[in-house]
Amino acid sequence: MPKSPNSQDPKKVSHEQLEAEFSQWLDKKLDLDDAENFEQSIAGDEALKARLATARFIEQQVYCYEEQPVPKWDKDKTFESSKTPWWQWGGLPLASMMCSLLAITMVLLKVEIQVQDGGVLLSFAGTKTPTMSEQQITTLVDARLKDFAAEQELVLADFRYDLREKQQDDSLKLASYLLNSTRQERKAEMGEFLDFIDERQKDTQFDQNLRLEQLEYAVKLQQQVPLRKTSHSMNK
Amino acid sequence: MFERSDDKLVQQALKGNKNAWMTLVTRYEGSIFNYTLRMVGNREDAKDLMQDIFISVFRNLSSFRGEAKFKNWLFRIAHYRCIEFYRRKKPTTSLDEAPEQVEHERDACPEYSLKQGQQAQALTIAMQRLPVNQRSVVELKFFQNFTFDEIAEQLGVSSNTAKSRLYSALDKLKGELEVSYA
Repeated sequence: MPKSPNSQDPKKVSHEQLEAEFSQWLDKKLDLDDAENFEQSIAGDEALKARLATARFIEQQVYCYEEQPVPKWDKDKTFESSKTPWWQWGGLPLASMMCSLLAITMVLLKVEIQVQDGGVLLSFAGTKTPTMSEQQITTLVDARLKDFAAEQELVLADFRYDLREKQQDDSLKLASYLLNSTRQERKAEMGEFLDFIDERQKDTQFDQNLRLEQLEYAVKLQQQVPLRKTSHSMNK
Repeated sequence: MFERSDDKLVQQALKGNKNAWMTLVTRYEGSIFNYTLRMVGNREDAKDLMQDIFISVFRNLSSFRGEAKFKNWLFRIAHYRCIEFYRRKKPTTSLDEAPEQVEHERDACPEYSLKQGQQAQALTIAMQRLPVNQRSVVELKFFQNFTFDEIAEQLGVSSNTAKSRLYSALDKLKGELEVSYA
């Protein structure tokens, strides 16, 4: 406990010192003796005396004060579980705002992100390296053309195959038609030829029959002629 | 003997131990409720303010470092919530101004039971006439027995400012209470 300066001549104690002691008295930092000395030393200071008296009075009333009972209240409301759902995370609005700002910045700066084989290309404000894009475009076009050519080849091959098959089919049909038609013609010609042969044979047969008859007649005539000569000579 | 200390309860409450928190609340609800009752003057507002204080204490529990006593830290938060309450209720009245005279103060404070001595009632009623800043210092000094340094830390002012406010309050209360001294 700090020693009261009142061990000196009380008259010489200044107002500031008394106030300092008073604050120590209020803080209950003075022991009993020092407190008594202090109370005696402020006999000439009316303001301090009044304050001391009021402070003592209040202390007495506080001592007699009966605390009011606490009414019923919901204590559970004061306890908040630390496990908040993820959508109640406090940083969500800030994160959302940051994402919005980032999106706006990207739109304003015309940010473009290109993923290539080697990595990722990030460009701003529509700036591009022309050679790179031409190469890319050329490569892309070539690749597309190759794909298209390959597709067309397949289609063409299929078409050729179909065409060949159709041709073969048509040729087959033509050949069989020709064969059939030739066979029939030959059959008809053969028939005519045979008919002609028959007729010629008939004609030949007739002619031979005629000659034979003529021959027979001649023979007969020959036979008749000698008889007549003999008879004549005899008549002479 | 086996009562857990405030620091221990705070640590357990921070880990999510509801029981520890409830023990802490029960330990201080009496002093906090009576504090708010003397500060605001009516039971309903005192109850609401008490709940606000404990909710605020829980939310800020992680900021309690244990450098000061838990009670000091608790009443610091209680003071700030009290100030907020006044600013909401009376936004045009300065904290250094005396509130408007309540016509029937005893009727305004019917909560003070007849068990209270007349003089004790007179004290609490007289405190209602003090500006909020002075009332806070009287409350913390006499009812909560804090030193000027502790009061200064809780109110966020200098020690001399706290003393100055108390002395002004004592001067006013002398007239209100008609204190006589030998």
